[in-house]
Amino acid sequence: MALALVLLAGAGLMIRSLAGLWRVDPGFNPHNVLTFRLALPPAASTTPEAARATWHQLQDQLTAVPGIQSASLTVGAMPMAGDSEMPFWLEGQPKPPSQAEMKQAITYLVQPDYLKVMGIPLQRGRFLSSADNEHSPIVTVIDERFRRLYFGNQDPIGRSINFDIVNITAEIVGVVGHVKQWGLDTDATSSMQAQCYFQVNQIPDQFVPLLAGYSGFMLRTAGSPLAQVGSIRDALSRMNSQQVMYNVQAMDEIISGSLAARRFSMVLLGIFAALALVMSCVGIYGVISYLASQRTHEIGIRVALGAKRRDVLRMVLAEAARMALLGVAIGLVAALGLTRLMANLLFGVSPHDPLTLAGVATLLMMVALAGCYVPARRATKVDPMVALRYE
Amino acid sequence: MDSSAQTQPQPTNAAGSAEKKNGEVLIRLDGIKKVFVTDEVETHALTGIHLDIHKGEYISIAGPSGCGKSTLLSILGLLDSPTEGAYTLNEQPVANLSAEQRSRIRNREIGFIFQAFNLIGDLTVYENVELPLTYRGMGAAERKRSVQVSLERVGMSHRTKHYPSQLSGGQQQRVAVARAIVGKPSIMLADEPTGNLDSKNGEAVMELLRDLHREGATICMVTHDPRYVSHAQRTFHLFDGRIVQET
Repeated sequence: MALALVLLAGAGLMIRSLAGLWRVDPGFNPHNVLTFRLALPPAASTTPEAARATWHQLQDQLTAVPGIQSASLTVGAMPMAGDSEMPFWLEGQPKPPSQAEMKQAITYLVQPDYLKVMGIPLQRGRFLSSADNEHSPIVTVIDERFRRLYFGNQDPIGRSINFDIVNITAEIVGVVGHVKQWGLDTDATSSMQAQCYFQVNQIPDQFVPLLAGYSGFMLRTAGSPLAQVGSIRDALSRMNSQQVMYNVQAMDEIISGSLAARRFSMVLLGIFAALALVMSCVGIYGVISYLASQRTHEIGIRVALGAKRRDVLRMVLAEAARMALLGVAIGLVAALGLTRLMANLLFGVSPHDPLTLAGVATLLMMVALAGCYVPARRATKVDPMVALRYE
Repeated sequence: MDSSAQTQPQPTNAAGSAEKKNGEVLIRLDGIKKVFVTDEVETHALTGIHLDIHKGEYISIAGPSGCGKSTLLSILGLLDSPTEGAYTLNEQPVANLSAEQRSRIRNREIGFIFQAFNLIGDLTVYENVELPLTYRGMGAAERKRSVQVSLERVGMSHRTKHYPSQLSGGQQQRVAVARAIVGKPSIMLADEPTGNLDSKNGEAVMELLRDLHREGATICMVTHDPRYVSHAQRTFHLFDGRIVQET
């Protein structure tokens, strides 16, 4: 019983952690979002102009597919699926002596509909637009975390950021909500939090052919995202049969996958806990059956002296409850010691969470009492005539 | 000996003589039969038992082994039910009582003394004697008073914290008597109360029963020991499940 309680406590804590994680807001709306990577034909990225034209055409084609509400090309980072960072320093501040000493920001290279696809809230200013192109000044949109970390209470709109590695200076035109890039659980503790968005058309010419090979798409669909895969593939094929979509995933799947390790631990602990629970139930059934049979004579005496069925039932159940309580007490002490070892697997719940421990202790007591109810009921049917001869 | 005690044999009906008594009838058995059926074999343990026991009476049931004495006592003690016939206790027919009602009557109206003492080994002397009162739902203070009185009555008040295994056979039977009388039952049923005792302890227990009777207790004792048969006012001799003689 003690072992069962330890395992149940572990499984209970994992369940509470996962439940807590599912309630975490990822910073965007992952439902009905389809993502995939795209291998473009070599001709499509020979020149920056060709690549930009292809990207534009792709968005038009995909948006025209029935059931697709909005689409955005994405190069660079994708939430929970791929990261891309750039070192920066703020305009008006001294340039750090080396890139290694500069701050880093997660960089998303996207099209204007990205915000609509992802459902990320715009907090200030504006998001990127089709007017932000290769001919206009480079602009960027930062996230709320970037603003808080580097601008504090100041308004970042109109300020500029230098990205030395690509040799550009971008003006901040808006602030959007923070996206949990590193996963629902670890994002808050990640050292890299600041995020910024660029229009793909404003990627400097020299980088366009290079980045074109890493493009992907994010689409918001009217219904189940995976149900749209066939029609999307057809649309891409019609446009150019050499275009290949791969790594197709619904955003919900990506989030679910990011919790796979925890879920595996929970399932494993849950299976062991369920086995331990069944074994406890069978064990206590066996023990109480044996003890009740050993007490047949005593039960006969008690019945002869006026014990009612409920008195006998209460007596046998009380004995079972005493044993179960002892097991639960030992299990609680063990659980308090052992659940500390799984602290790094937990999210939003203490290894000594009183609600979980009380819950599993109650569950175990109920299972134990259910397990001994049958022998206890049997004990109430002892024939005192037979029992008094039983010595 | 009661003036109504019969010296002539009454082979099948002992009630007739009992009705000559002036006391109030406590127990009446009318045509009691008990048949045990095992593997299609019927064993007639009791056949046509008619018997009246009056309040304050001391009767004994005697007979050879297997004649049905203990079966009769079990029926009297509501531990078993007759196959046929009527049993009336305190003018109340018991045939249709529920298990709950039978438990209540056993607890309040009947005191048992067994040959094997039947004390509970895990309970102290005090707890053993207290047990019937616990099932009665009596308060702790009242229970304590009754247990002390009862143990003093049998001379065992100095052994309250002892366990049965720490007592001699005679002492255990005295504790069993204390347990039987603690609830002030209407009748005490004693099944071979001296069967497991040496003659000295047996005599002491019988003396105790005699004292209780003198104080007004109704006692029904099963014995096959001729020395103790004479302690009763009336003796019913059983043979092959029938009362063949009343003396």
